[in-house]
Amino acid sequence: MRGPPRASCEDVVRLLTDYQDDALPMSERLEFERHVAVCPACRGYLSQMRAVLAAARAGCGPGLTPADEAALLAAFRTPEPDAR
Amino acid sequence: MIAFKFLTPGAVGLFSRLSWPVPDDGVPGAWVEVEGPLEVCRNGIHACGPGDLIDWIDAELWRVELGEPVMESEAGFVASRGRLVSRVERWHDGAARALAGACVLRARDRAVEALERGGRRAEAGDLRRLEAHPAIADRAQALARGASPEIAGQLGFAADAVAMSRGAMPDSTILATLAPPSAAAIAANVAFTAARAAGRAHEVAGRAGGFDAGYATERVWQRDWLLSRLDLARAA
Repeated sequence: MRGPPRASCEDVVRLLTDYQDDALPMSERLEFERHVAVCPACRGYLSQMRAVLAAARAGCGPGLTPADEAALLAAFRTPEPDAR
Repeated sequence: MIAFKFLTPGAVGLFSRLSWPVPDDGVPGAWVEVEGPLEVCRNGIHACGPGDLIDWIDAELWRVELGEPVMESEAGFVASRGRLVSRVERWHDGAARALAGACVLRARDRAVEALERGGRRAEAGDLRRLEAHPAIADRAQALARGASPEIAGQLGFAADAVAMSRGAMPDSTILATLAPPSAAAIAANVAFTAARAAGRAHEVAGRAGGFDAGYATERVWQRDWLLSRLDLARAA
């Protein structure tokens, strides 16, 4: 018999993007899934996030050119100047 | 080898979203295969033995045949191919609701024991006699007022178990538009809550092994309940 899942709802929210990107190590992935298996709220949250991602992908059209993608990524990674 | 696999409605994997080919007229569904090396939680057909069913409850329970080689891991069995053989018909919404109900009473009993340890025997007896869930929740909440933290905590678990058995979500739920949880998801949640209540009771009482031992003991009780209900004890 396994011990209790250690991940909390907050952990699931924090890890969800990495989970979707398949970027979690096995131990964290297992804890994520064990929590979702017993938590209806996180199960629903995961389901909704997947629906949102699928809808976003469906609406993306043919995709970005490599140059546009590089420019966008560079923009995301550049800290915004302090506007205050 | 034959193992078990819980799936969401329509024989769809909760995490993989794979729609499994289902058996037809006694003929197993088509084999589902993965390529490349097996990796727990990432690559492989995942299934579990009867002893681990309680950790992965979902709407549909299937017997699944796993093709060799089969790797055993902390997530259960992982194989490169598998196929659905037959559905465990005894697992349905009614059974899920029965499990949730049984776990509510277990959480109630942990609260009763906490009251007895605190010398409040008459109130413990009153609570033990209650079977109706609303009455358990109302009494637990009333008794928690002014109680010690240890007693109030166990009464809180009992009241929470009742609320969750009705589909209540945690207050911290981010999206208010979530669909109501399924009977199976509720059962998984209430069973987990009852196990946490048992773990806490074990810890507060200073018993050997602390929280984890109490949690594990309750999970064994739940596993045995499930196997008995589903007539799978011989498979264990």
